[in-house]
Amino acid sequence: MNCSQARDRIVSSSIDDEVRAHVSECDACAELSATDGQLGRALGQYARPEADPEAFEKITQITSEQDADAVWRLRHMPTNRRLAIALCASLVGATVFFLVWRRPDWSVYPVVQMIVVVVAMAIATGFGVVLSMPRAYRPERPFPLRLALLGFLLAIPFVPALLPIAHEAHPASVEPNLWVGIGKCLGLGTLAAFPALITIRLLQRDQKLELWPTIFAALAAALGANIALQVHCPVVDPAHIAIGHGAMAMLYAGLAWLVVRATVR
Amino acid sequence: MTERTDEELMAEYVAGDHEAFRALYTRYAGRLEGAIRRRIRSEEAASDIVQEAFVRFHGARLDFRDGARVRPWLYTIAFNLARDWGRKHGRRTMVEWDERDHPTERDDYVVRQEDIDRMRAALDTLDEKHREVIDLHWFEGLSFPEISEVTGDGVSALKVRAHRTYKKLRNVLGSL
Repeated sequence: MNCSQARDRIVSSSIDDEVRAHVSECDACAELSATDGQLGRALGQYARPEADPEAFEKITQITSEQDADAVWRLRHMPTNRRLAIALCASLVGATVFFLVWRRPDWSVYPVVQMIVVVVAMAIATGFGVVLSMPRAYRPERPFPLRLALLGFLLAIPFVPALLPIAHEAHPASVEPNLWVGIGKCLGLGTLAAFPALITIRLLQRDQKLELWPTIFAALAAALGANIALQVHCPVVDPAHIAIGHGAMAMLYAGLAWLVVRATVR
Repeated sequence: MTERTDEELMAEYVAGDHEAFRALYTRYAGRLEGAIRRRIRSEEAASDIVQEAFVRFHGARLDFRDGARVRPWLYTIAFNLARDWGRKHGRRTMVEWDERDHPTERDDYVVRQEDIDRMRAALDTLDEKHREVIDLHWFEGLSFPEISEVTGDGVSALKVRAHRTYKKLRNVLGSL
């Protein structure tokens, strides 16, 4: 016997051994039973409407139109597949930079530091991708948790700037002008992030821009771009890494917020 | 003939059987609409939310895996939409809906209108989290593990919350 069946029997005063057995194991039903069904009778007065067949026809019409739309089908692929595609798209920039445009100081850069930075950034990118595609059938994450995750993803790209300076042994690692270097890296980062952002957007189920998923999509793209910059940019100056690489996530999150606000209005 | 379970219907629906979708709609649309009405007190909006919930349910169907349960899925989708609606419209500015215009089918219970009004007032004193548990446990008959899937809270915490809420309602309605 489940709670629903037990409650129906309690409110109709047909309490038998089966109900008593259930009540002995269920605190909530025990509470109800103790009120002699009065509470239950009052609760039972709430109406339950009938399913509307006309509304179902309308739903069928909407879903049929959606099923015929190629972009809609893309957005409604199984979530695991969408996540895998989005993650690959976020890492494409890094892979291309690694294969064809690798940092000139690669041979002198400490291997462990490189692995730590890339792995931390890749994990954060994965988080960003997952958070950018909320599932309608899962409960909404509480606001404080979302805020904490946002803070975490914004902070991660600054970690490389806080690590010990990797080396001072390569001429390419010294930049003549801080701000020019930062400008170049923000430009290259955008080059790496943009395809990822477009891909994630195409895979998001909501047609309308939603605030949190859009911010997390921007962050995922920016974090992926940070990996690309890590394997490409030879500059080891913490100021360059913090502003030219790390701040990109903040910039993208801020832009996403502005775009959503403008769209909603 | 035994009635097919929600999960059997869902499996057929995912495989492309539209009639299974209709069966799930028939089984749950009214229940969902009742649950949403109690939350937002707007018949029109509740009806729109249920429609949108089934559209989203259709869109998410390929994510359904063996071992998952249909009821928590549907309630989570609908409640998330209702929460969005509440954020946009504000709980206190919602259109009043008069329950007296919608007599219940459960006419085997003889309860005074005044008691129903008091019950509604008592439910209105609950915050969203407590109200949600009563909604899902009492009105919708979901088990605590199912409610846990809808709210994201642990089963033990939900049992305690339900226990306290029923107690509070009983105190409010002490003289019923």
